[in-house]
Amino acid sequence: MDIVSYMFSKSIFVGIVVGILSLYAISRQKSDLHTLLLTDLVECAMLVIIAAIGTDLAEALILPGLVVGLAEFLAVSEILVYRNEMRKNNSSNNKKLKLFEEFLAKEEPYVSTVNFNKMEILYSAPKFIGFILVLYGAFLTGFTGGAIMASGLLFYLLSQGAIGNGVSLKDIKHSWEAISGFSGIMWAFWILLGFAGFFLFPEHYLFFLVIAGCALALKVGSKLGLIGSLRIRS
Amino acid sequence: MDIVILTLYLGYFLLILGTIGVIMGPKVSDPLNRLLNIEVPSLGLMLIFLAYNQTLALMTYIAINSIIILVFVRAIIRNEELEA
Repeated sequence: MDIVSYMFSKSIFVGIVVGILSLYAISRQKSDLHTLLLTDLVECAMLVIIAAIGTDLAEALILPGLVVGLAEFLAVSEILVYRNEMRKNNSSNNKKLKLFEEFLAKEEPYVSTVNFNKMEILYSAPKFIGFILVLYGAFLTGFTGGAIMASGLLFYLLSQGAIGNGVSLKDIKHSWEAISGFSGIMWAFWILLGFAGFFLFPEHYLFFLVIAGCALALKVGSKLGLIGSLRIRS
Repeated sequence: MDIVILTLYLGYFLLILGTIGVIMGPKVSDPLNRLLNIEVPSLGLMLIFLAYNQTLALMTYIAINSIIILVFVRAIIRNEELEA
């Protein structure tokens, strides 16, 4: 008897105990912020129950669960803050909030004084490092490859922004639309062509697997690369 | 006993004890204390992932966990500012 099937019932038991305890605590809670914090515990219980299956499929189910959970927490905390603000001061203080304002630097203390023109590494290295990362990401394919590819693009664009020869705002607008459109087309390739192909023509599974992997890499890479163009100075 | 089973039991122990700590630990009426207590069950969850050999899930959970802490700290700071 292997370890996964030996420990299956124990893992499920622990997950259900944690879930029941945290749900009971949520039901007794008055404050919204505490409820939000306790929701994190419920997510832990859910992840334990999925992980108890112990196969590759369970791992593949955990990854989107984590990302969706993060987006959920971000949205709910934003709504909570906004509602509290609306309730507290309706007209007195109409300050606009930026996302993650607390963690951003108030001013740039060093960047303006450093002379970037004298740093040779900013001109020669980023192209090489970005090229290597994009090549390696294309070789990996899939979600991980897309993330590595995007980190190469991000690195290149950020360093271009730092030495001040970024593109103008007008150019960005067009390239932004183009890159997000490209990402959408790749999403369609990944889901419609790749995934549907698995189920419709199982005998040609290798072909559709390659399509899905490459399309996912390009989609993730282009989508995350958009973050880099945000930083470019106009 | 195998070291994998030991890791798994340590994960169960931290998960259940941490859950009880989050729900009725000392001074949890302060949201920041409750947020810090949440780290204990998440460490237990990471040990369980480690015992089940789910590398990608473990790495993604570590990354996501640090971002979730930022989100919660931001919500707590905002709330405190508004109540003060």
